[in-house]
Amino acid sequence: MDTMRTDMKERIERREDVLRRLKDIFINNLNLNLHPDEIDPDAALFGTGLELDSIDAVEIAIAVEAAFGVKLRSIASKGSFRTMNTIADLIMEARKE
Amino acid sequence: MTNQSKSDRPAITGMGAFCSLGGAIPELTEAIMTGRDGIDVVRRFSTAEFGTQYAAMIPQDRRDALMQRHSGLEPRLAMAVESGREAWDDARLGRHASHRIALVFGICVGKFGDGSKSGAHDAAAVRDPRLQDEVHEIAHRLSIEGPAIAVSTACASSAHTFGLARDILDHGFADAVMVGGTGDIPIEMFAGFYALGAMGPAPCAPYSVPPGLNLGEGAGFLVLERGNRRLPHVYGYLIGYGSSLDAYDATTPEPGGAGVARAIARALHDAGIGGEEIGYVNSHGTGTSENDKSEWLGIRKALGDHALHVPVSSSKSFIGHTGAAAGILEAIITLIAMGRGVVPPTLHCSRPRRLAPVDPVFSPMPRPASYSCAVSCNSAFAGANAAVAFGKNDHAPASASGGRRLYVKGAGSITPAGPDALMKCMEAGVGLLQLPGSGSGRIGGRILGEIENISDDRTLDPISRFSIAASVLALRNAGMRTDERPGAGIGMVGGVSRVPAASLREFRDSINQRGLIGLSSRAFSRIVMNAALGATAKHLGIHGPCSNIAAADGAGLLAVLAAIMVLEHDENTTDMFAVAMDEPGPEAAEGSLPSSSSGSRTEGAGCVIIGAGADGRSGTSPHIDGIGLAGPGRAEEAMRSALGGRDPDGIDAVFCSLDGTTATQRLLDHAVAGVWGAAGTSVPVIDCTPALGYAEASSSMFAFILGALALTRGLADPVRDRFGCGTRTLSNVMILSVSQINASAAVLLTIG
Amino acid sequence: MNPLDRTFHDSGVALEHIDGVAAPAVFDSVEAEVAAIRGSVALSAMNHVSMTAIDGEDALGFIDRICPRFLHINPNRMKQTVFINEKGDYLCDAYVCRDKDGCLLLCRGIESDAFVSWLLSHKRPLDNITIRNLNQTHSLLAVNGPFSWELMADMHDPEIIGLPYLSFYHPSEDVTVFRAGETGEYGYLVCVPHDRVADNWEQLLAEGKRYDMARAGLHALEYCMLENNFFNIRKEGACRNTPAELQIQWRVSYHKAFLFADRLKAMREKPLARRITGVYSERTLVEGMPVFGEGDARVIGTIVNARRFLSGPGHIGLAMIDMPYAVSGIDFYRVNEGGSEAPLLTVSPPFVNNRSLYVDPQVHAYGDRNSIVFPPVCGIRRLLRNAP
Repeated sequence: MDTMRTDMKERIERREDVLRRLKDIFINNLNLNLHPDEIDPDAALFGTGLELDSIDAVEIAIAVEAAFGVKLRSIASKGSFRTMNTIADLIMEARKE
Repeated sequence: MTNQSKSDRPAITGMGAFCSLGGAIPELTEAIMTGRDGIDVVRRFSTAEFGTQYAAMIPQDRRDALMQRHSGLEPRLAMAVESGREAWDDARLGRHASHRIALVFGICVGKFGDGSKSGAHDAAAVRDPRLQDEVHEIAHRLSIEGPAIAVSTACASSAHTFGLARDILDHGFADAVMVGGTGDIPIEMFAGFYALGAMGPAPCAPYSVPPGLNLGEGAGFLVLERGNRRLPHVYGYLIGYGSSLDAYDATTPEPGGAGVARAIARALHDAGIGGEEIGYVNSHGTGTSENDKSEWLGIRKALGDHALHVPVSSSKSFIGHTGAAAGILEAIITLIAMGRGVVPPTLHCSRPRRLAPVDPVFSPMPRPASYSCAVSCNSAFAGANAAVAFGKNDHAPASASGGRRLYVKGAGSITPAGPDALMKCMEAGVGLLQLPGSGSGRIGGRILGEIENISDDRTLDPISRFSIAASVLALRNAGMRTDERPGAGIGMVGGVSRVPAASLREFRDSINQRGLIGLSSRAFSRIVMNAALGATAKHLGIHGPCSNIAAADGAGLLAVLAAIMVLEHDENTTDMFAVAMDEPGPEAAEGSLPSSSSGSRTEGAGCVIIGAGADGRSGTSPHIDGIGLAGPGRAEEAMRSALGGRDPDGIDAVFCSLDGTTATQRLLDHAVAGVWGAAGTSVPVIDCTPALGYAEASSSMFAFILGALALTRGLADPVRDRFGCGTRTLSNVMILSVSQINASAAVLLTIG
Repeated sequence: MNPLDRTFHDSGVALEHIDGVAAPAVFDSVEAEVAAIRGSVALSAMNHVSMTAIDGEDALGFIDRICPRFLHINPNRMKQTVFINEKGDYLCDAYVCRDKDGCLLLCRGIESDAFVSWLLSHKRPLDNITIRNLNQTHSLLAVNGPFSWELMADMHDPEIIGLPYLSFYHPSEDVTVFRAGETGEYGYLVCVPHDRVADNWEQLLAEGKRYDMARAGLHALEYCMLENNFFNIRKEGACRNTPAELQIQWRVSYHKAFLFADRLKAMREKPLARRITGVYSERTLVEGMPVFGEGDARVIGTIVNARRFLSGPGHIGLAMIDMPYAVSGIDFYRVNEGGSEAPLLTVSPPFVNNRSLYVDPQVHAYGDRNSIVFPPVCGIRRLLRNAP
């Protein structure tokens, strides 16, 4: 990692930071009984995968707003709220703007 | 065999209502008949944050006048008292002695905070709400001195009152029962439903577009009396009742409507009629896509092809979703409509959704229709369903259930002293409080983890875990597997006291930290009093009859009684669980909260399984030989009912669990003296509280379990000596609950 | 041979042999078949899926003992998992379906006889169970697409639109309808006896005309699996990777006591060295291609699954990339395509914005699909942003 380009390293770190904080939200606010390493970032959130429900979806939106200042509910659509990584995409995009 | 006899269907002799449509039955009737709804833009508080503005609230001027008339009462109690008095006068209940009038009342959590401008939720204002205290107040104001019992199954609360009320009448524990419910809309409730995504952007249009519900407020009452008497007037008869558990999810109904189907099927079976005799179905019909669809599938399953012809409409398009009052107000509308020869419409509707009733009565006005049987159904969070069948005529009298022997199949308990510590108490003659681990008054995670891997479900709160653990222990003790096929005849009645502490705290904290718009909808779904009941049913796969007695002190024994009465009435039910649970929270355990006892309140749960019929085990298990229920302070009457004429001298011991106040002690002493003193004998009275600690709902259940254990295993010598049982082998014991705020209850257990 | 597969064979449909079955690979063209899956309805033969019925009092307990995932399943519901063997290899991916008398297993990646043998090898003498290879008596069909529910409602029961995802029911005694699929659209699996499958197939084709239904082969189905990031045991699952590396940890429970828990624990204990990641390139991606970091010769991963993107320009795929590089949203990596460097983007799957998300069976119909507002099907945000 030390020999990595700084801009790439920075981008990777920012992303990992968002993912780490999202995992905290999932574990603490949703009471997911998992270690952060055990959460697959590309696993489906609803229906299968992590098997969250609509109440969890609301909770995620509220917690993300509180933690990141990003109003998920106004920018997320059905297509973009599907895995932890897609939520991270929204957060990273919103912060760039 | 207990004292149930061949009985008539209860007649409905009085009505009262106070809601957005009007302050009394005539206004409500006029609104229904003219298609006038009570849904309007909310003015009482700002809905700007919530993105939806509609609800069916009481107009401010009428509300102010109401509060003037009932100063000192919360609005929802004021509405209850107002509508209660209307029903009372209508039925001319002064004909009855007040101790022969009972109250079964549906009510939900209503006090969330002081609603202060800052939005902060003062812990003191929200601490420890007890629904039974409100019901007690209503009983007091209506001069009801018979049993007064709070039933709380969220949105189906006042629908579930009918079953218990009917059973009370059938057993002769009262001559008239007032059933009712009340619900209002604190801003936290509005925020909670908004957070769930359930609210609609316009006046609700069940079965049509746009989907979504509106909240509503109101209160209502019906008066039920034994049908075979001379009555001033009769609006109709309660010809059938059915209830069920989805055992599926905390907030969404079972998608195929199987739970609703079971409740309706039971109501029809109870009434002795086929689906084709139903001329109208008043659905729960909240307006949300998921609930409307599932409920319709359930109605279809229950009524078969007839469902394609019967009108099905939702009164929530008139009065909104009135929460705990939904059952009673919608039952009232059903009766009014049947009496007037109309079916009420579903308002605000345009094109129907795909999975919706074939005849949803989309119309601005009611439609003329002549019918003599109707069903009103309601469903709630945590999967509690109820269906009530009304008839214009008094159908054939209900046949008494075949006199099955009921026996205690199994029992389980969870206490700070460990799982099934009651067993150890009995064997060692030692009190629970002396067992290691009990000092903190709290139940550690370790104890629950030992019993069952229930930590997998992340949405369970402590009270649900206690309830599940106690029930699993009872199941093991009974050597049973619940048959997990839906439709199996196993049901469950809960006994609760206060709003679950952990969930209430989480709810309050979420509002304080994130504002109303950020409240935790998970916590919101868990502060309904029947959440633990639903979670337990889901874990064990129990789909049969259900109820939830929120009577506080003694709720456990009242749940046992309710369970026994279900088994006596319905031969298709084979087993009933009665589970009592308490989670007062850390403040209570430390004794820093005001409590009704001199000591601290402990947490825990107790479960008994009552079974019907004969099987190998029943010969060696304690049998239910009699039950009794009477008004608060009338424990002697309750015990005499349970004795059913037997000689009190045959009772080897009385088990109870007192709350530690002198008033309750006096009630007990008076009652015991009344029964045994009069007979010139004495009886050992075993108060379990000093040994076990006091848990409002569970302690009476623990007393029951100890009594049953005493019969099967005998009391250990130290216990016998302490309570003066001498060398008698125990063959008959009386379990007694003495309360000042709900009822006096007694169960006679016998063995051999 | 399955009767349906025989008719395909006889009529010259291109077949592919997988797991002991000759499965139809392509009927028409992958593009047309994917278009039907994504736009209306497609019909597929699924006999490469092993179907096993386990009945008897101890059925659930037996499966629970050998399954790596906690199986808290309500009756008539199903859960996805993988079965691992004593060596810690993935045997197959599976749906465990809880039926009233036992359970049904739908498995991919293993021949049905081999799977039954493996199950039998773990049966204890006192286990009161019977294990049946359902492929011997039954065929499996799939109906996938944003309007598949409408076709199913026509053919079976209007109430089928109330069937929740990952549940099943029996319209008649020997037929089972599962609501499950791996395309990301509404999807159903239909299990029928052999003697009826040919008729069923023809009936579905006839009814399906109204929905512009196409037959879809294995290639189209596997393409859709990739687009929606459904684990494909034949592709990314063929390597010996840990569940963390494959992002299938949700299919197992590390804390569960089961027969091979020690194997699973061993995989858990390995620090995460690499992870499967979604990738996109404007140029061609080929399975086996190395992925380079920072434009130099340092190899940081390999493409394990790749196809030409059918919902947008370029190619999509999955690459097993070393940590710390295995992160989504990075545009610094490269592949070597046709002798020159091509940029490789890491993206978050799914690669599509499924139309099914915007179809409400309570309100919509295929007939008025033109009135439904669908956002662009391409789900790669970067491409959408750059679109004119």
